[in-house]
Amino acid sequence: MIDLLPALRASAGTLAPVIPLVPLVLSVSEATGHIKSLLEDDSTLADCWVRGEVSDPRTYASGHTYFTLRDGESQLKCVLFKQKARGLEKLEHGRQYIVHGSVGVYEANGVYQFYVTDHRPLGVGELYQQFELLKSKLEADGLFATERKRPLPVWPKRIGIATSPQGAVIHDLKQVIGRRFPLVEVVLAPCQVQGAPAVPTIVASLQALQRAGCDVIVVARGGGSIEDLWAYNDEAVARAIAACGVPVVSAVGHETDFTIADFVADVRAATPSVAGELLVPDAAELRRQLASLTTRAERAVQAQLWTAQSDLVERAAALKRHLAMRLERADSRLTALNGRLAALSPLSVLARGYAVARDAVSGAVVRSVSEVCEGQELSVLVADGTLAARVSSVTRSAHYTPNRLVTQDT
Amino acid sequence: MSKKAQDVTFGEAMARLESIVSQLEEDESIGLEQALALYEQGLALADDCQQRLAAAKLRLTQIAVPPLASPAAEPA
Repeated sequence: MIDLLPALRASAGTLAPVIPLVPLVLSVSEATGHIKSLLEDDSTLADCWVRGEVSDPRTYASGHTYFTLRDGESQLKCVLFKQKARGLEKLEHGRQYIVHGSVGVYEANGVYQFYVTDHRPLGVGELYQQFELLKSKLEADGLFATERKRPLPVWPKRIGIATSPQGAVIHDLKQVIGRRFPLVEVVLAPCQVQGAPAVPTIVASLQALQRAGCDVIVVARGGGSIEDLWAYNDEAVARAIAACGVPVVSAVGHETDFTIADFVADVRAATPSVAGELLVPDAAELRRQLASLTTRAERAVQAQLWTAQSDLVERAAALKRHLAMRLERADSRLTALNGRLAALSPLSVLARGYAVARDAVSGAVVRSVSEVCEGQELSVLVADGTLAARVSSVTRSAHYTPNRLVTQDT
Repeated sequence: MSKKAQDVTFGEAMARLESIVSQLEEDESIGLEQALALYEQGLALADDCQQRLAAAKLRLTQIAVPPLASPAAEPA
């Protein structure tokens, strides 16, 4: 049709609009009548039970009741005429029903609707049966397998929460996370937590939180009746949790409530507060850890210092020992030298009976007879003292040869 | 450290501190100078972590959630 527009524009003025030569042109009534007969002749639609949540039932002055039956994805307009409503209980908004009737077309408005002849609220028994059916189906698909479960991040940076922006749940989560580990960022993606819109909004929230870069996501809801929690037993929600790119924590209802969402989630928290505890470490515990790490570091360094100190002491002692040894060695060497020195001393020669004659005045040693004359005073040194003597005569030895031993007296 | 303190997340700082402490406790080959340097680094990290815990205030943002795109466009 869009392709035709330029062609039509080009021909405007020269040619009248071309009416295709179709063999059959229907009036609105004829078309509607055809639709009506198609729908109303269908044997399935003529007599069936439909399951869904009743939304917004309104009874008008005529006594007829209009409402919408819906699930997560679709809705069906329903009419309950006054005559048929007799003996039936009043419809409750937000409750699950099975509704009996047939599909018809209301030509005046051009709409199809479901003409209700009977309805029954879904009891806990039926809901439970539905729950079990979905549970075994998803289990067979492997959605609950333990190997699918991912661990939660140890240090989450951005925590996504899919829940109602009002109420205790978001308040509790905020409180618990803020008290334990306020270093994280919390992102709330509001969704409905009950009624027909809950399912699509929960799924949309999960997707929005992934796009927001959360590294873990909590799907949370406070306690309520089984009907209140019903959205969390929906297949679309279960599949959205399974398909989530980051770990998901479920925290739906009270501790005793188990939903399909709990089975699919990576971690199930008994309550929203417990979810907060599972998600983030506790600052008080972290402070204790920090203190203990600091103490350990101190001890380790202290040990190093002690080792260094004892090394030092040891080396100082070794140095001292070394020095003492050297001193001792020097000492004994000195003693030995002293002995040798003593052996070489002329005094020891005197002990053997030699004497040294010296001039009494100058102290010069007498080496030759030529150095003395008769009457000269001499001092004669013997081993244990000196004698004063006077030269009475001088006799030169006839055989004296210098540098020779004086033993050749012949 | 190559990174500035602000660029390191709390988790990274804790992990670094833990590795410093075990290095101090277990690695006997490190000298006294290195041990003292590591110790100082460790203390600074611990202080930084404590301060972050004390100073942090939880940030909560609410994001808009666009409705699911349905396969067939719904009439308004």
